[in-house]
Amino acid sequence: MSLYLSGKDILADGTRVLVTGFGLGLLFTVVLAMGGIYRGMVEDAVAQAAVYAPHAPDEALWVVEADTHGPFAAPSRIDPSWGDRLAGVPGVKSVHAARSAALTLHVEGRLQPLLVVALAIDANAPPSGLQTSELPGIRAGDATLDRSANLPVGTRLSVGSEEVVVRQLAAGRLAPSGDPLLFVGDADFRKLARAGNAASLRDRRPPTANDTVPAFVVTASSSDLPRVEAALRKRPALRVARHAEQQAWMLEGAVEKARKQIGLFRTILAIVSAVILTLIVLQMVGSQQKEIALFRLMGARKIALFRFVFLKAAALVSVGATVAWGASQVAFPRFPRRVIVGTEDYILLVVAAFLLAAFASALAYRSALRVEASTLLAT
Amino acid sequence: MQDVRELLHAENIEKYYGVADLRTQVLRDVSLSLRGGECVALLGPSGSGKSTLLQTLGLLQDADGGTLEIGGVPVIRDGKRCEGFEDNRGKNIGFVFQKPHLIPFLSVLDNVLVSVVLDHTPTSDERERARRLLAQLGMDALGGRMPSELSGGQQQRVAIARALFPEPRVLLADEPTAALDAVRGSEVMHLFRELAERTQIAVLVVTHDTRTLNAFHRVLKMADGELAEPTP
Ligand SMILES: Nc1ncnc2c1ncn2[C@@H]1O[C@H](COP(=O)(O)OP(=O)(O)OP(=O)(O)O)[C@@H](O)[C@H]1O
Ligand SMILES: [Mg+2]
Repeated sequence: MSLYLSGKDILADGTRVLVTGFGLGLLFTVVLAMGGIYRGMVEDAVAQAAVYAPHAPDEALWVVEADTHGPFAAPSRIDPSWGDRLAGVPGVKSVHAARSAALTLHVEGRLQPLLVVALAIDANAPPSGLQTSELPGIRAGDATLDRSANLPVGTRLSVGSEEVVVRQLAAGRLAPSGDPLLFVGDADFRKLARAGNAASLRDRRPPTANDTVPAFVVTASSSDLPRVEAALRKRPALRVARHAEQQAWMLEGAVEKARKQIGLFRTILAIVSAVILTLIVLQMVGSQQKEIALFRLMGARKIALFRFVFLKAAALVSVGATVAWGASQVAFPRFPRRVIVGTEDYILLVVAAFLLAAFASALAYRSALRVEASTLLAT
Repeated sequence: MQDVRELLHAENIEKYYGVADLRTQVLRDVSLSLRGGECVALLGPSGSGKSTLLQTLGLLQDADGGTLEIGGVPVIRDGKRCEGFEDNRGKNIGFVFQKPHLIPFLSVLDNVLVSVVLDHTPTSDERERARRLLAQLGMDALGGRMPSELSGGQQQRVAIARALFPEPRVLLADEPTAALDAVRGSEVMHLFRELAERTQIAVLVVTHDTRTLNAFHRVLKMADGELAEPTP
């Protein structure tokens, strides 16, 4: 297969191919962004629950207040004393109190306060979703903060007279609200939460936390789990859910609607891109009907004609895909919320763009063949 | 009686344009044959059907009746072009139009090589042959230019070289020298004759220029869609 003819054609038409390809690339970028924003929303929404994610899907149970979808999708309050009682249930390996509190922190040397969601983490028996490098440390006052806060290690954070120091940075640890998570030890959590409540009262805001626990995460080996689950279901004050169910609750509410919204918008954009690409290819080939008629007259094989049309379209989508890749590398990290675009998204984009180019080329090729060569050349 | 050197044989070609009341007959029962090695002129007043005949013989359009054989192979039956005529056309027929219709994004040399370039990158042998063709047409220095950098006459000579490059058995040319000056025009006509004699192809040229008729072996005359007896 020879690229000679198409190479000359595309080079001679370089400006148009580049400019049109650039425009297509921006369209592709938006299609990518839509998918990435949706993915980011889902990841962010479940990121807080992921802290307690079990090693295997059926090794953890969430215990929340009866009749609630707590702790993230709805308020749930359980008496802390349940912690010991749950640990006593036969088969239970560990119990974590999933305590969290939204806090407005003062950042040392800065005027602007920092909104975080603080999580109480027992560094001696950390929840299974955390890596060692993310643990707040066992010393009082040590904390781990998500990188999205843009603060360096060593930063002092305080509320009222309570203070913690950022010792470690974590990545992708966000609350459903988009605020960074702050991991602190149990004692520090209590102090911060109390100080936070006092500050809230002063500012006439509703209190952010109290001594109740929103949820417990109970782990058991997968063989013991059904037994533990059955035992816990007997308690009328509690509601028990598998980890996957807990994640589903988190996605059900606001995220579900946004997902549909973004999904539909993305579909429309994809269709618009497809239509525009097809029109561009048809127009490009239409403007070269005379050349194609001459190629036919010179005995060009059908495959050679199709190749001529397709390679031009392929050049266009190649420019488009490259621009989309470059633009997403530059733009997506600057978005305020996470935009998650993986290699498979780029591959899908390239495959779809080339299929579309082939389809548009087939249409254009057919329309070019329908014209009698003589009507174009004889005049 | 079939002449062995007969390359093109047309019988009873009929062609109409328009429909119903506006239907007019443009070709009336046209029969002709061209032998290898002969260079034939087609003369006739404007509107007499010369271009129509050439396009029909060149398989650029269907006729409404008649048969055509090229190299003994039927290519038009009952006025309709037979299956696979495109192959036959590409291989056997070279066409030169009134306008050069060069490919704007290809250099002059690549335009001559267009039948090659459609398939593969030209080899050095093919380039050399294209250069020789251009040289024969007085264009040796212009192979690297783009078509837009040539005069109309120069463009037309490129179109002639392009038609000759695939070494067709029949060359059909519709007023190919209309854009050339008298000297160049006559040169081209003599080139056609020399080519016909040297390579044993058949050449049919529509022309208005009676001054160049001495370049032709035979002259056909067309009037009102009918072909007159060849003048000896
Ligand atoms: N596509 C067409 N549709 C309808 N009538 C046509 C068409 N092409 C040609 N004709 C008519 O057919 C007749 C023959 O046309 P043709 O082009 O073959 O003449 P010609 O001998 O080549 O003339 P010229 O010397 O001016 O080139 C003319 O009357 C012309 O008007
Ligand atoms: Mg004419």
